[in-house]
Amino acid sequence: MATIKILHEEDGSTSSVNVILASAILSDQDMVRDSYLLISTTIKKVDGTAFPTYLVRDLTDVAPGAGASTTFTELVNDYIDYFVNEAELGQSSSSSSNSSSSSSESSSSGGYSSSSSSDGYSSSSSSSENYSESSSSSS
Amino acid sequence: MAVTYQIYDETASTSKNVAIDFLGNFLAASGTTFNSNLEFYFRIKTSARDTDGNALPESLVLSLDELVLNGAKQRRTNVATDYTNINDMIEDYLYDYVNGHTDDLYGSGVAARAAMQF
Repeated sequence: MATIKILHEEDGSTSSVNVILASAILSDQDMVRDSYLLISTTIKKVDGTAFPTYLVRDLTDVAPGAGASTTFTELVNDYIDYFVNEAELGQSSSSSSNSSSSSSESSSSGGYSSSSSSDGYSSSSSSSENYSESSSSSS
Repeated sequence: MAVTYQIYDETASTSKNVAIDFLGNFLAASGTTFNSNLEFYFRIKTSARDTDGNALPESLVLSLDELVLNGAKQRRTNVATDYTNINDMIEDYLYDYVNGHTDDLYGSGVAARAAMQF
């Protein structure tokens, strides 16, 4: 599991994006065992509701509004960008900086920074019963 | 939280495990210029050995175009196209672990490797 921690520099709060490899029989695929990624986050939307867990089967299952990905690095980074920008984490009124639409997850450009760790974390939001196909969520 | 894929051999009545995880790290390799970008990838590894007693190598997969036979060919189907999805990729890597391959199989330039020892 890859866990990407996102620190909000203004209030010190942290959020995380979790990417988990899972393997199971999918109920909507004729009882065929499948392997896929589940991407979830503890970030809340502007209205306070949670983001769905996104199911990724291939590199076309990109974040809503994102272009095609050629690597899993690009795909995950697009999801991080989507979560951060959709939640407007970089648009705090106490900040003089505007939100960032940069594709980089590096620190200080949009009022947030991120780090990643792959070990030693337990998932706090890895329900596999509440996922949605990312392709169907694209607008 | 890796997913463990268990491979059962009917003849030997034993099974071997292959652990696959999705990770995010900085990657470095000798002889390669360090890329200071966080990379997300699949890590495929097993403690099983081949029938010659050699350890089976770990694989890192960053994209669906990283075909198991030297990046050139899929193991099961002798095609050079990208894997269709994550499941296809995993199954092909598992197939290669279990069955091994001959030298330069499908003209891929890969070195021979024996099948998995059960």
